[in-house]
Amino acid sequence: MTRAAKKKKSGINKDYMGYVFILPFVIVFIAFVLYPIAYTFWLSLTDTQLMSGVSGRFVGLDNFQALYNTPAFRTSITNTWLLWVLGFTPQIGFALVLAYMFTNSTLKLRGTGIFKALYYLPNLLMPATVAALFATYLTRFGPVNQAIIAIGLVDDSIAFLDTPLWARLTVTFIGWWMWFGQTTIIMVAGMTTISPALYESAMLDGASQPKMFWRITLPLIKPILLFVLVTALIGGLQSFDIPFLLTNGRGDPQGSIMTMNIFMYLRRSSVMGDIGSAASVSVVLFFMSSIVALVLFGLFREKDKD
Amino acid sequence: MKKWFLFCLAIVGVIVFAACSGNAEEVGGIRDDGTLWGELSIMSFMNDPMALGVYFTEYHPDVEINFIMTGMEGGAYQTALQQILSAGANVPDIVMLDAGFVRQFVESPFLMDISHLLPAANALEIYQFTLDAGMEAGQLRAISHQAAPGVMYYRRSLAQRYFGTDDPAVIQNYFRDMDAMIESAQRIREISNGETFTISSHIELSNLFFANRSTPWIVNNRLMHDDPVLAQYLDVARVFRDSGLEAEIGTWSGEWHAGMNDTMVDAHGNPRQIFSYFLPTWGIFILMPNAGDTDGDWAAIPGPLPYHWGGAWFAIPVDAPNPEVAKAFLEFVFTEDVMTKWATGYFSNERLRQIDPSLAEVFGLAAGDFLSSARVVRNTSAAMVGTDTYYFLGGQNPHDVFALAAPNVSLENLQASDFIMNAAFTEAVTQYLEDNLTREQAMQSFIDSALIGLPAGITPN
Repeated sequence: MTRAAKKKKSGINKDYMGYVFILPFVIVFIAFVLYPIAYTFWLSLTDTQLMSGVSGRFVGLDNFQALYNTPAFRTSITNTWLLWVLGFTPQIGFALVLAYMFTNSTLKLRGTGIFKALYYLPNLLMPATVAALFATYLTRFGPVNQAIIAIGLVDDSIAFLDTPLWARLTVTFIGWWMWFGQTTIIMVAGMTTISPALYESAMLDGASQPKMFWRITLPLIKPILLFVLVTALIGGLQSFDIPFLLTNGRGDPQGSIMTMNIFMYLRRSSVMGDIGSAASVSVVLFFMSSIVALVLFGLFREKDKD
Repeated sequence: MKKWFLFCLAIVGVIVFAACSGNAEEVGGIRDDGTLWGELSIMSFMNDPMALGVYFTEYHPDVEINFIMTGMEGGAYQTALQQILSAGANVPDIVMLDAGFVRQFVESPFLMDISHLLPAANALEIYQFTLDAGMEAGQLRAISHQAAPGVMYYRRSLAQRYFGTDDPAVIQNYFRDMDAMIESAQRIREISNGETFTISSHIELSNLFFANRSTPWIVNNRLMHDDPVLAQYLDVARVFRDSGLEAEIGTWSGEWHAGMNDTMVDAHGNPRQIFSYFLPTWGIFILMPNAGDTDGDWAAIPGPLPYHWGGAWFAIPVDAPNPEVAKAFLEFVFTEDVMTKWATGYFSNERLRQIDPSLAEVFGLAAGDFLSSARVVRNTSAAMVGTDTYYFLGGQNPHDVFALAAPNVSLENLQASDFIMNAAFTEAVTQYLEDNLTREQAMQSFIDSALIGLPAGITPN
């Protein structure tokens, strides 16, 4: 090999520096993301119990079969989706309307900054605080019951957190209340990227406000909508803190707010600490999230092609 | 540059190896001359063991206490403990176990046999029910310094109004059993025109019924949902609900606390009172700071059924790195001298700071804890006269009542699954009382909910 060729090879070797720079990330990624995911998959195929003191045995898909045969798990899937749909629908609706109003120059709204901050405020509260707050408001003799009796809405107090319907509505209301501000901010960011020239042209053509919203705003913020939808969906499927803290930590009344994550926690905190079974719930959740996210991406892409 | 790359890899390798490799060095033990040395790590959710640990170091200056405090909120403590003990890494020498999960660990293979403490326990006359909770397969695996028998705290002024007396002996007769309690509760409702509720909700009674089940929750892989005591609970709860004898407010809620100081108003804004609270020994420390103007207007009686609520147990993990010192520590704690000092408030923060000046102010044991030793309770009970708790109960010695209640408590039926079963059943009762479910549906709802937390193979039939 000639000296020149050696020098050239030595020059190529400089690329190793790049590996050195990404090494910390790779190590952290492997240690805290890849390994836990792989280990969770492995655990889901075993009967590992924390309190047994012995290693779990490989049981194939037994944990998944057991889940399929557990009515409470099926209920938890229904609850998870129901709570997400009920909470997300008004959340995205409010966010779209508010963001449109905030960004619409023809409306000339004042003090939008204050409102944005106020709407975002609930998102800064800890879920534990929010759950404690609502649990206090909604007791039998609590302020909400006192208020609705005082104004004559009802004759007697309502057991909000002991009634499945009210408990579900409370969780969805909290989800909406905590997150619509955040979604509004993201929507505002998306809408401000739309060129005002488009609206000006539309106005010259005599387009109404609703028409401009449906024909200009909505199509152009589709990528932002997809982002919100996917992140909200993943967050919604992982719902745990509020329904867990609002009642007795078991998703009651009657398991009406028992989400998949609460079910997973109940398996994990079972008498024997069934982490193999809990991991199988996690794997189902993983596939469910992935499939739905892929479907959403696909749907949006299809429409883009159109 | 290749050398750079290899150097970085080597550094990372060293770090990973150092992180993964355990410390195989001996961390403590007993020297040939009998002195103890090394680190004694204690994992706890309460401050008590730290205070005792500091006092222990006065006698064993070569022992260093490493106190690991973890909160119990949302099951954080037992979750962490499960992980640590099952992984066998960073295992403490002493762990504290709450009544809610003591059996879960006692029934596991993670705790050491500490039966060598039984002679000391017998000498101290440790209440049998606290020993029963720590026994498994003929071994003592956890031992409690506290006893938490439940009693019925009631308002003296309300008792005067509805029964013409506030004498605990007479009031106990009015609440001697469940039938008498229902009768007395109806009397309270009638005379007060419904302004005074006997209890806050059926949840107050749940511990009483659970503690008096005729069988454990699980027998031969069968969920014992048809225990007659559970049926009685449903019957009594229904009477309390339908007759307006309970306030229908949850334990630990704002109204529950307001009922302690007569500031509770119902949903219509009408003032309401709660006659009694079913709380254990430590309940007096819940009542006192919330009592407000009702301070001194309280008394305590054993109530209709013996029960317990709470308590904490000491245990040594089998993988404890310093088991000899851990054993010596428990032998030190379970002596008449230390327990007597504990009961009489000797372990004040000031006293402990004489041993360790850097000790934080939160560590110290005030007088008044009801300990598990009947012998110590008997010998120190007189010291409670004139204390805050004595005046809070209108001149009644709380330890006399607790000592009356404690021998009747049984924890023979306590199992690892109790905390799950009790929560699931209480919720089913609530649904039944709210008329959201029929009795049969409520029972099925309980079974479905309970099975989530039970091992496979346990059935209701």
